[in-house]
Amino acid sequence: MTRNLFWVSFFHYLRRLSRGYLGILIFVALPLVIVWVLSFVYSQNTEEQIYVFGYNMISTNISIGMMLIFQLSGGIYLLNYLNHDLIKPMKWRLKASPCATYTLVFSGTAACLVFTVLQGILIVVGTSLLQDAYWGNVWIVIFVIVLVSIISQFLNITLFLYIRNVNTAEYISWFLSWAMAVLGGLIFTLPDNAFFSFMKQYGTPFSLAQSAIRESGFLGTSSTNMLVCIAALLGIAGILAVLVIKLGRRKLI
Amino acid sequence: MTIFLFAFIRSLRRKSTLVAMFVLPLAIVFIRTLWTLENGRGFLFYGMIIMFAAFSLVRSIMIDRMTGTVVRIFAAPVATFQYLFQNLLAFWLIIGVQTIVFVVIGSALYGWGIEMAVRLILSYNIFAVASLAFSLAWNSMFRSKVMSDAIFSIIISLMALLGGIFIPISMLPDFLRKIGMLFPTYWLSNSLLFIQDKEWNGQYWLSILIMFLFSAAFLLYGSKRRLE
Repeated sequence: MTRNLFWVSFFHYLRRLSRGYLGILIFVALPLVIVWVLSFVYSQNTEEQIYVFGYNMISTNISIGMMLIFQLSGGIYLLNYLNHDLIKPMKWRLKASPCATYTLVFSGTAACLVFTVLQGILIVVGTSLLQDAYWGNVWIVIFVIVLVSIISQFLNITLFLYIRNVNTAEYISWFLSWAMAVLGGLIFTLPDNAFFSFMKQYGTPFSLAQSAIRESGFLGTSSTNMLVCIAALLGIAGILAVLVIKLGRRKLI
Repeated sequence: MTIFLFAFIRSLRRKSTLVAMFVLPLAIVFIRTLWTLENGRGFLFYGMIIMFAAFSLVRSIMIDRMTGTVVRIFAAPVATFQYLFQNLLAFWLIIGVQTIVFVVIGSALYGWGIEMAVRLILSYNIFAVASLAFSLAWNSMFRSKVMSDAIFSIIISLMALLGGIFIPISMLPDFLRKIGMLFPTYWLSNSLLFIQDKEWNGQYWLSILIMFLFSAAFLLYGSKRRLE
């Protein structure tokens, strides 16, 4: 019974996600445009060799960063659904349905996860076809996208359960992913010292994911490094999962 | 000036505004690498903070319109002009005070000098007017907060991209620069170029004038539409 309910609500969440064109515009079209413009401008203004083994290194660098920023904010979908379904207008109606709240939350999270992973893959395909970006090992990239997506969903649920205001939570979510990008060295060059070089490589989920993707291909040096980054991402996802379960039991049901 | 007073108090009570207005600028003003004269990114990031602050402040006019509060306000002897003027003045005052505090701290930390400080305050304040007017015009086009927010986040990214926030405008290719000229952020960047190049006087005043004209145009469009 529970399983059936799960699939029904999963399916409907997925339908709901696929109907909004704005999400796709923000999370897929926008990063593609940004990557296009930035790599176009930087390629015009550089003296160094841009193409290595047929791949454009400038757009590779920007694409990896942009994909991760938008993946880390992908949980905003879930944030809005949780707000709409379990806090604000639909709360009593959905609580009156024979579907338990945790089934709804699980199916919503799963549907958002599938959808944001698809978005991430679309960005990867788009940038590698249009911009000659290099993404290393495809399977590793997909795995990293899944992990980052899971972290993003959990992070957004945690923010939402603590803050209870969807607008503020959304702002903080965007701010966090851009702050991680800043610490990852994407926006401007960071000072060259031990703290910042650690943050750039392993300090945040953003930099862990970035390092994992880079290490999976010829841009990196060791596969051990990649495994360490992936293990750390798994660890973060695990910690957040425990936190979400504890918080959810207390505040949502 | 009752509306002014209440708009002022109401804006200060919102936590998100307070964070945007005071915590963020204070956080970035102490990052030394952003404020070197060769890099100069910090000056533009601060411009984006003003833009966000303006958008979140003008939100209360939109909330008034959506919840029907505005209809009740107009039942009192209040003209549209008074309502808008006093609200926008309150918002502008908040941003203006914050800009002055910010520039004073910056001057104390990095020795900007009096002429540069005055010029910075002037361009940020005119930009604040342009941002407020832009947000007013923007919000008048939408009936739902979610739609307005979502599309605004796309537009602001494009503005940042073409307005020299990510890449200096001198590096933009010609056709992208022409598109960028349609946004006030481009002219803020252009006016701030005097920091690196002292001979930029004419361009500085031209940028201020254009931001001013932008403000007038947006204000006309934003206030023309009936508020209810």
